[in-house]
Amino acid sequence: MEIHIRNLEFSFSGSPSAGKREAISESTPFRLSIPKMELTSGSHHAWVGPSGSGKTTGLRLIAGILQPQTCDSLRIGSQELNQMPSRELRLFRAQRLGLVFQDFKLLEYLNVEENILLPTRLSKSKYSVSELRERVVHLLDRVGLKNKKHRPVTQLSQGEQQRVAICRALLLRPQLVLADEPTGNLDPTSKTRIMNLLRQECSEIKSTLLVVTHDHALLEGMDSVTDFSDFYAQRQEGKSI
Amino acid sequence: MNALYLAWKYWTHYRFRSGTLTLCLALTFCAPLTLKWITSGFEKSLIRRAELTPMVLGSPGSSIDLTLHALYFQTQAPSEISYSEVDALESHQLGYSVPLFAKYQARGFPLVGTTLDYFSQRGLSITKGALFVTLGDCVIGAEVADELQLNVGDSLLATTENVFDIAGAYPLKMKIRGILSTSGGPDDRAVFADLKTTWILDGIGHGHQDLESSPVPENLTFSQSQTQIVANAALNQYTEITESNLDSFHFHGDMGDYPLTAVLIFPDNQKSRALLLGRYEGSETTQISICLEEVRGLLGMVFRAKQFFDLNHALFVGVSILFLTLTLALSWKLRQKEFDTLHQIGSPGSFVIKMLVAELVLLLIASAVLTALLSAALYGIASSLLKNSIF
Repeated sequence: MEIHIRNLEFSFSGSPSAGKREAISESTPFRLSIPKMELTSGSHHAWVGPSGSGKTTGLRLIAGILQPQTCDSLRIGSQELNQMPSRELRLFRAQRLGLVFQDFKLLEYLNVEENILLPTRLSKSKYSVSELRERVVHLLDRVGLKNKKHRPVTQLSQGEQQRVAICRALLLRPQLVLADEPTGNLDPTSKTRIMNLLRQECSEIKSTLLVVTHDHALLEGMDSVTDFSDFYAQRQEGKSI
Repeated sequence: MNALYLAWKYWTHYRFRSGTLTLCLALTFCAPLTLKWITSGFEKSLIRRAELTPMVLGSPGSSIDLTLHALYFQTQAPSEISYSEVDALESHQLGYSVPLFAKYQARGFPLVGTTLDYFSQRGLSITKGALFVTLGDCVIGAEVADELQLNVGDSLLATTENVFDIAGAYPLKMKIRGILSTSGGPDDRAVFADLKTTWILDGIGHGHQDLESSPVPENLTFSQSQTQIVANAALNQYTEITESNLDSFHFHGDMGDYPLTAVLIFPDNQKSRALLLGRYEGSETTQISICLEEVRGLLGMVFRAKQFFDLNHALFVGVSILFLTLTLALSWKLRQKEFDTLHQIGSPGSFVIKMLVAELVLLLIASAVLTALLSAALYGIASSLLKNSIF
């Protein structure tokens, strides 16, 4: 699934990495501007840049979690996100996107299998229950956690938790996988392992992979790398850029 | 269903937290609920018994004491009236009367002297044995039999239990003729005997060695004339009525003067009731108490006291609900990241609300079940305590 962005502008007064909830804060004025960006279908991309440069915000804009103030085009595949009502955006996110977060965002009260199956609890899936269970077993086998299917996620190491989060993102064979600093909390060995795993799995299901990172060591093997410093600007008090 | 599934998972994962909240809610509601059950049961029981006993005749004084004595045999017996009042009542031909003499006890249970009519009027039946037939027989309530482990054919000692009455009557060993079926009322915790049996305890009737046969043993006579023999304290008085000494039991004086503590009156109709009230109005030696009015008056006092407890409970429940609201609000605030995650991976906006509502419903259901169980346990304990003290 290709990504096509034209003249996207997003600004709010909070920290760019702080996200949607802090957007109403007046403390740190911020503006993100992406004049043009094309990511081809099935390819692997990385966004790099210093902390707070707006990479996470960009990812959230693509996921439809945030709405840009102005944008000529924000197209994912054949769908123009700008014109999508919120219900369709949610369905799009549930059925066609796979999201991996830096802090995994697993639910502590669910075990490994239940966490992976969580997206199917939130929206209807085209797969049957048996297909989904088979898929979970397959994914867990691939990430080396097959024997920990029923274990509470709190009993897993951070690397294992991130692998579970990747399984959850890939469960419904999404066309686009967005990974926000997926290795940010991991040790160097785990980082490489997780990135390789993510790339392999996305290649297998022919998903477009977009990874946000500030770790240049992980960029090897990526089809394209975009430096987000070019798109980000922080306003001085009262002055627009 | 998915919201409920996640709510259930959350609820069971944090068992201690959920259990504590459930217990807090259950404890908050079980006290007022139990009190409501108890007062409601108390009210029903008192009203039912009062309805079944329209009027009570007794000595002047506290009408509530008279009513409670006649209905529950628990309060101190009021001053006595004479048996002639029963004859007078019957001569009016306005209803049915059942005399009671409930002055003494048998092993801690009230001993009620009455006639066989008492059992038919109260609708009491015998589960074992038969009703009393001869002097010295008694019938015991189901709980008396259970508590004292007594059976038909056993003996039960009735005592005057008055240590100051040195010249008083002897204890009487009574034979248990029958056991009453459980009625759920004060009759379960009473011993019933014929009026004459209880009069023996009062010293009006007695049985002793035969002084009329000749020659009278000299060591038993205090004085002797042609018409009268006065025995001394060495005379053997019987403390048990048996077939062999039954004939020696006799009563002194006029039966009309024998004491009663109350007479239950069952008027034929409303007119008879009104006439009876009119006839006894202004009487200086007796009073008629209308049981239902007395009981309602008593309940009025009880419920005024209950209103205070209700207010107290309402405040307590209000504070607990505020604390619960605060706890849930803080918990939901702490879980904001979890809700954001659900939103980001595609949950509809209403999903989190459904999940929270499901959690609340689970909490309320569990609390309701626990409240019911705790209340039932408390009710069981409280009603058995109340039964021993009031009913």
